[in-house]
Amino acid sequence: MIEIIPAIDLIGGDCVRLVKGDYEQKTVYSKDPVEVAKVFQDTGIRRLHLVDLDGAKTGKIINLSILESIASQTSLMIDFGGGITSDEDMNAVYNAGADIATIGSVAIKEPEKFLEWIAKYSSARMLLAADVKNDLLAIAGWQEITSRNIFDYLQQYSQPGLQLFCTDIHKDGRLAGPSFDLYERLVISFPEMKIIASGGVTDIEDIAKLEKIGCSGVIIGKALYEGRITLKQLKPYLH
Amino acid sequence: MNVAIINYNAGNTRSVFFALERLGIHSCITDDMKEIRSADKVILPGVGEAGSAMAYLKEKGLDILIKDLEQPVLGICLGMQLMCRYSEEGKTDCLNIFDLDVIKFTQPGKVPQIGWNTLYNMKGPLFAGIPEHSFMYFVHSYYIGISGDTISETQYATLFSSAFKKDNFYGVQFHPEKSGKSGEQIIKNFLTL
Repeated sequence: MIEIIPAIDLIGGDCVRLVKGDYEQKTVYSKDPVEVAKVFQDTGIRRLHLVDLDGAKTGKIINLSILESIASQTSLMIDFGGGITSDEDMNAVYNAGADIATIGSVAIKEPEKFLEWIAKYSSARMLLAADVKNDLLAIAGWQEITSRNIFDYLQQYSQPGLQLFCTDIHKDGRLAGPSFDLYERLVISFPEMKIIASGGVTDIEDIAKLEKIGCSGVIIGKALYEGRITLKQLKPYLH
Repeated sequence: MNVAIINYNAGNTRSVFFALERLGIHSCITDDMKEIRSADKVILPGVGEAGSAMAYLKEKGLDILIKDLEQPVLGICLGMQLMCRYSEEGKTDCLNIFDLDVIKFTQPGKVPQIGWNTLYNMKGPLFAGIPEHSFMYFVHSYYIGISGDTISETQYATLFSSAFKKDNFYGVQFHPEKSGKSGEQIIKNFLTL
């Protein structure tokens, strides 16, 4: 069954959503992300995608204390990302209670370091993040579109045992439906990888469709916060 | 009660610590021999990669100490795998408490297994009050086959040991600290052994 992974994006300790990664277009959904996480847990959600948007922007982890609060007050399986660049960051994130580290820029800019981390912490504890626009990788908080194709890029990481979470920037926060075509091509091209869809999920049918394509998980943000997908609708996917 | 969580410096040891706190039990995360030896219960948590974890345990002399412990010891996820003879992960010689090998999942089934899965054929006090076919949360790419020590079975690509027991040593492949109420019950059961 496809895994439902709600996202909590953090800016200044608040639970927010951006539109297409634009920090200027920010909606604050809650001042208390720990409460939001508890509500998820109470409905049977087991996993949480926690993003430090301040960290992603500055390249330095900022919202570590929120991670620690959520990890100590819930039993959610937490993947945390945004601003992880060094060995010290990895230690800090795991020590604060993250179960899985989400790695984006380092995997693009310093593949050797990323492979070292896989060797040290195991691939099961990593979530490879890739943001794309028209199949091209985006970096620096989506400010910069590279000329690197996602399918070429993933070749180096296609050894079994990695989860890939791929966001189509063009779709994120727009509630216009996910990039089914992109995910289908990823699932077919990398059958050994676990593909987690992210961006654009609008209603419960989108989730059924992503499951049919073969996605292992789906990250849901705005649709959940705006009530287009209710926690009740997600029940069949939870235990 | 005195609970020691063994630190092996490769990932998140605090999930278990937090879970115990939520049960009102204060534990210590430690690699200190004296602290571990004097604890009422010892937990070998489930994080990191087998090779680096074993290297750390050896460096601290804990590989020998753990095997000699007489109080109940619970290995979680990687902690369970480290109790085996050998792991394919990093081609690592492990603690050899269980004469079993840890093997990588092969197709069919994507690795890592992440998410809920079902427990069958649960045996013994660790599972007291846990209904048959309960769901637990798993995160792993390697597994241990079925043996005489198996006390619960789970299916993912193949049938594997989701828990085993030998004398005072218990291992669970899933994360009880991440498995809601049933998981919490398993931790409580371990603490009352």
